[in-house]
Amino acid sequence: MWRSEVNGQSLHFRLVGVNNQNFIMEDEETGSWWQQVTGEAIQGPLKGERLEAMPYEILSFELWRAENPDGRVLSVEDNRLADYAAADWVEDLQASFAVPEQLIPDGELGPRDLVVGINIDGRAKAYPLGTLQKQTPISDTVGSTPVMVAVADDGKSVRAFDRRLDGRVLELYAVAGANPPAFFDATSGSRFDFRGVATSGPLEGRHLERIASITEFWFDWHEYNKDTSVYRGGSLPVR
Amino acid sequence: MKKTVPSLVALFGLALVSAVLVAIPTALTEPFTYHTPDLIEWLYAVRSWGTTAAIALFAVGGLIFYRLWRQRTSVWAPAIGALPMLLLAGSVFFSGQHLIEWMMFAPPETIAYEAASGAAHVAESEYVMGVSVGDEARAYPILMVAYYHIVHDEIDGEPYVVTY
Repeated sequence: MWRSEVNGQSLHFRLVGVNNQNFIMEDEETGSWWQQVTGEAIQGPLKGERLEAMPYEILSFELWRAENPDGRVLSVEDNRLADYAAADWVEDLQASFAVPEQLIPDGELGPRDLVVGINIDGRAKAYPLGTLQKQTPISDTVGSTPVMVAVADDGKSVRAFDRRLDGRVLELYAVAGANPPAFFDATSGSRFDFRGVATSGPLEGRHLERIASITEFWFDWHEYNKDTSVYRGGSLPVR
Repeated sequence: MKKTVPSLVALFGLALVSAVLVAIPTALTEPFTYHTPDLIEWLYAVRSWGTTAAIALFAVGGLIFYRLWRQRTSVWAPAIGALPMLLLAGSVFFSGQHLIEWMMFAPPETIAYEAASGAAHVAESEYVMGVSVGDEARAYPILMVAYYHIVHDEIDGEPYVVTY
């Protein structure tokens, strides 16, 4: 998701093709081509420009709605109902084709294994989703930033947080059986909800800063984060 | 008759070349094979010169067609020649279009929202892309964005695109 203004000019993007299984957008204003996953213009007059990321999350509707009871949801267009179903079919079809050899990174992860990718100040790290599902929450460091990566019971709603609060790096553990997930800070005993807000204890009312993450195929994350490290705290990911 | 057949062949040849040039950027940006940056650069060049090339081919075709017409002994030669002229004109038109949107994934025509509490078209277990700006929280169901590919929207006067 990207802010669509570049240098004060509002751009309108159209779908023009696919590059290594990630799509290319063409802006109507200059005709430049933009890589969807990186927001970078790869061809055309604006080549080299980067779109500013718009923070977003992928959550189950159940979870999102519980957190945003006054939120609004994009409505369907009635004449497109069959199309929405077709998109599923096309994605399944695409997934049935192999990832080209040249795009398959070395190592243990399969090209279409899902990873949670985090990039902070140019340091990239991938957390295999299977590992995250087993070990959530994962406390780790990306570059010099202490992070916590967590996934809800559905196995797909992921959030990442900066573990620093008031100059201290928190050690956070799962509250057993909490759904949606909750965490407690061992040092202060404060309890944090899945939004990173402390709901009880000395830190009540404070919140952890969220860190952007993307859950996507390993090969795609690696393609645009060639120097990425991979979290290996424990068992191999389940495919 | 002697000049008719070569002229018609030339016209169909031009129509074929024009159609291929217009089709190339779409046909080769597919999700099956590996693309090098050089290939993408070449495809972009074909696309950005596509309309100019299609117009030039249409103009050359027009000259050939005009000569066909002037030297006709019956209506048949120009009548047959009209087909590649139509194709050449079509290529000019399609060179500026977004063919993948035509053929597969078209963007939304209108954007509307409904309250989260009432949104019956989204199952609880479905996934959404959630955005929050100030007090405004919006969810874009993945099933919908996967089809549209690109959704233009704005919050607080700030435009953005939802992409999946």
